[in-house]
Amino acid sequence: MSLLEIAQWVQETSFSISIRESILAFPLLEGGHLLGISVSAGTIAISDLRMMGLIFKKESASDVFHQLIPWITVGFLMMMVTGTLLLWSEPVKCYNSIWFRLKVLFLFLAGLNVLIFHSSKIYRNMHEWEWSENPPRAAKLAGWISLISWGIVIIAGRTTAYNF
Amino acid sequence: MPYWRCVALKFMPSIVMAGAGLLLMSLPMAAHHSFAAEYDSTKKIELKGVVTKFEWTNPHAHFYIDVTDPAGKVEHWNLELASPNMMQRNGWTRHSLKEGDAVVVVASRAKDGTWTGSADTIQKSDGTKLTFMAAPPPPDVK
Repeated sequence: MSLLEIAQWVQETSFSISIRESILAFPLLEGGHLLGISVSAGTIAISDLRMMGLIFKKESASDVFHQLIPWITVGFLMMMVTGTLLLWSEPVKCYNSIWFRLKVLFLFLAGLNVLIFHSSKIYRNMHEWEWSENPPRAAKLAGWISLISWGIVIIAGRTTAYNF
Repeated sequence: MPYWRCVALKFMPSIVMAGAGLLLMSLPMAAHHSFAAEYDSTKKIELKGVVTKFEWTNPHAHFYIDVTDPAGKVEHWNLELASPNMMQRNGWTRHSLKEGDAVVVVASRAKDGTWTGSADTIQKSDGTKLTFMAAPPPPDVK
């Protein structure tokens, strides 16, 4: 079964049809998706900027992270649940959209960035540099990759709704 | 680290964000939202045809009609409507149009000249008039 065939199968499920043809569910899901994005991407951006040594320098990086992680998690879950339902309602359109593919690619890149950075020595030894004015190059790089990836995810996601 | 690099690193995020914002604004957004980009509201067309399909779907509903010209050639038109939510508030249901309905449609034609348009009003053969614009204001009471 190819990916397109899966998308076509999903599109014909009654659950997909009922979201697609709904009066309230679809606009509410769109709103919830935006809210989830703003909470997760916003708090992720704050941790990125702290990690790069640019903001909240009077608090340690790990302190900032620990306070933000619950917000990142809640926003991310909300974004993923609403996003999955929106995808479920229009899978063939998403499959055919170059923007949606770009978004998924950079979503993976953002996730990979977290995995790689969190398993690195730099991350484990954060207590050694978390007050530094000039964090290690790897921390700055991970911050940049995260900021840019999420920017592209959001712009490409928004663009998926348009017919060019 | 030289001073200019400190400054560059410090302001880079804002510069990138501003750049991305500018880029986004300058993109030609032909869209299901941006009416003006896709349709020409000064080019109203009237189509007499028969409904072949009605899709009551988010984000925007569509219906399809076959229009036969005097020479007998059939054009397959794809006409865009509003969201189901907006249409319901203007009296539509998912059964307002069905396959086989004879309709007269006033629409704004797509700028690209294809057989697509954004429907303004739909007149059915039984006299029912459908639109999704808010009801026109009542006539002045004298």
